Amino acid sequence: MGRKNISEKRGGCDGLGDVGTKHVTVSCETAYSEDGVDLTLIRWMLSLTPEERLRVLQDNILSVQRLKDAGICAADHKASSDA
Amino acid sequence: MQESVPQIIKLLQMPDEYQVKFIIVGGVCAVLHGAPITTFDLDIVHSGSRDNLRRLGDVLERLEARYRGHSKAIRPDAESLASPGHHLLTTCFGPLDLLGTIEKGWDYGGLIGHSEVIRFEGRVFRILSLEHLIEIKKDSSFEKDRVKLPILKQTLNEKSKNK
Repeated sequence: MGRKNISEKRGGCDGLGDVGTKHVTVSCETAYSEDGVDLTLIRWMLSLTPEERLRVLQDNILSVQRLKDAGICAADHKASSDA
Repeated sequence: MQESVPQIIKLLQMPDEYQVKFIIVGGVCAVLHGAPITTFDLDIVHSGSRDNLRRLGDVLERLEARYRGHSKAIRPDAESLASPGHHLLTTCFGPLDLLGTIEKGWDYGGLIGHSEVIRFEGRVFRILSLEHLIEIKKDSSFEKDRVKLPILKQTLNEKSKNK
């Protein structure tokens, strides 16, 4: 059942996923582990050097910070509009 | 000191510049092994030797380190850094957790045999092996640590296939 849903969500098997600067061949049969871990992400991370993996982490941190800042700006704007 | 966006790479470089002996553990260690997780701090287990603590103290001064969660700026001192406890610090490059020991009393000396060396940006760093990181997370009393276990185990599994 889970596999069927995954297959529908991914829109077909054995596609070529463009992940960042590297291409990773994705097979739906093995896209997820039995406990639901996305193996495609792991394979992509393993295709990177340790330095590149740290840069991914740093980019994620910056993205979260930007979202947080955007939320604060939006809240401030709403507060000033309501006043 | 103003709170800043964590800059993990810069934070990592600083102790290395001062030749501080440490092992990277926690989320950054997992990322370096290839686990697709996000973390916002750097966890390291440092050597408690006198020389190392002196060098670490110099780094912390340069990083403007102080304990997190205190309204007053409390700076770590060499005596407290020698303890097996955890020092949760904020620095000019973001949160830094200095851990005297981790689960079941593992200290730098005990962990070094379960660590490996990686090279990046022309530097050499020591990180906990993925196998041992998994063992330690299994022993963790914190749910948040155990939640990452499936990702770590699958990362190890995929790494093994690539060998």
